[in-house]
Amino acid sequence: MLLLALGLVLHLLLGEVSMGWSEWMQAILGISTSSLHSVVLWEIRIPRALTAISAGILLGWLGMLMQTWFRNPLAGPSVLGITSGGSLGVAMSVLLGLAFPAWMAAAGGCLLVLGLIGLGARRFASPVTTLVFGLMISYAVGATVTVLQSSASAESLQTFVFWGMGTFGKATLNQATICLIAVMILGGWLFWRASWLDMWTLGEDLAQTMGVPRSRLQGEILLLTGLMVGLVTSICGPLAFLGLATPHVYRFFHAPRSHRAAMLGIGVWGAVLALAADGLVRWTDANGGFHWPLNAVLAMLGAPVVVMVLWKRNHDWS
Amino acid sequence: MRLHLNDLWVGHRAHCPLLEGVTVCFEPGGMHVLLGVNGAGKTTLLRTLLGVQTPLSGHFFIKSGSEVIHPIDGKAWGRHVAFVPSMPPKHVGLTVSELLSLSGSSSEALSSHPQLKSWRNQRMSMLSDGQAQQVMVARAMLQSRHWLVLDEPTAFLDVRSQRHLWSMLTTHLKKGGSAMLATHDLRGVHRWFDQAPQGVVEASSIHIVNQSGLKPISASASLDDLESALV
Repeated sequence: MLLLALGLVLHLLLGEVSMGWSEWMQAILGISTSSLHSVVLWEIRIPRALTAISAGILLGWLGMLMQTWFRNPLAGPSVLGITSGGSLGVAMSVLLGLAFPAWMAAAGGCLLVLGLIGLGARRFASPVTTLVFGLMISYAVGATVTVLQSSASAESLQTFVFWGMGTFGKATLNQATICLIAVMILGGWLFWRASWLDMWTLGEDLAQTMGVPRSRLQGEILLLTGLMVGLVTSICGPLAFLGLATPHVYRFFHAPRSHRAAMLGIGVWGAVLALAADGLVRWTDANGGFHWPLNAVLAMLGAPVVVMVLWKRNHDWS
Repeated sequence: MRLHLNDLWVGHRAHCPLLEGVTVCFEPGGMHVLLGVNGAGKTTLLRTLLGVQTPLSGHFFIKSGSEVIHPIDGKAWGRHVAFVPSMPPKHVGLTVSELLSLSGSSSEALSSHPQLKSWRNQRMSMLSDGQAQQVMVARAMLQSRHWLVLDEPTAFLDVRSQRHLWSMLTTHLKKGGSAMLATHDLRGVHRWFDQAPQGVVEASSIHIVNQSGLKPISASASLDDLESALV
């Protein structure tokens, strides 16, 4: 919590346009005399920070949800091919120049992949098979994106490649607000369904005899995941690492708990990780010649963290 | 609360059923033991009766007075059966009391079992298989369903815990409940039928599970009889 508050203040305070404490307070309260400061704060830094926080929370929760549902610590929105579904949607919108907005395309792509996974999950008895099915879809979708890329114009290709690198910096205040609303929806759902999810960790058969309706829970999870991943992907790009790693970071620092007890911690860690990664992106932007895209930072920081966590805890997946 | 099985075919694929045309009726208030070699279809039969797996054909239902409950109505079915799976779940981050409270008041279960209390704040993933199995049995008891379905409940238990499990089952039956269990624990079964109260034994049964269906065995069979019936 403290880390989150600190990260948020630093994130808002520091930047290419320097602001003192008093100017910053004035801009926040909307009584600033300098229009530059309030524009920088309200149109650049606040949307960026809010987007980073909400995306971090959403992906952390979705990672927890996927890992519970598939009872597999390596599950995450990106592993199931949902993120690539979003990429396909955006690729069709950007590379083929189709006339519908990116968020709609991304959500469409995610739901398409989810529809396929949903069909597969009806057929496959085990969640692990579904996970492999998701991976295969991910490959197929990735191949389609490659085909689209290789036949696209240089200009649209550049737009798409930059989108693929991921950033929290392109979001408007409206988009950030939508992300926050999504956080509330997903949070409310998780809190409501927490005991079903707890029962689900005890095993599929047992959970069903305890009154968990398998297909209904599955439908809700797939629908929410599709919408939320579509939203985040269209605004920030295909962020690969946050969903998978956040639950592991949480479990590394805290004893694993019931879903209701864990969701706050996982949300906060997701937000902290997203803010920290974005802080590094902004710092490299301001200092030195290399621009580090968000996805590169996430992978460079995240992969060692996940490996370290697994290394220390290899006796105990939970 | 009598459980009827009517020409029930059980298995995963229609062309190779595990059990063919089982017709049997399990009396309420009794202990119903399913014995069988590995792969005979005990677990598949239990999963079918739990309503988790659809039968290949035929049907089964619980008859309680004039009321008939079918497994198709999952919610109603769930109010009559509680389940203890053969493997205690792995990688569960819940503590023992958090897990118990999913099924009812955990303090009730903690008071009924001597050892649970000392584990209550431990995480399930930190318990041994045997300890976890005892928690799972206590959890199922807590649901206070009429039918208690147990798959190999004694497999991970030491002698003392096995005896405690059998006596917990007797308590469940004395309260008017019924139990069905698949097991390899011939000695435990034999001892239980030897010592259980007469009224309970009368409602109980032992069946050998093999492809031709369920074959009843006398409850007073000796340990040797049980063993030779299996081989």
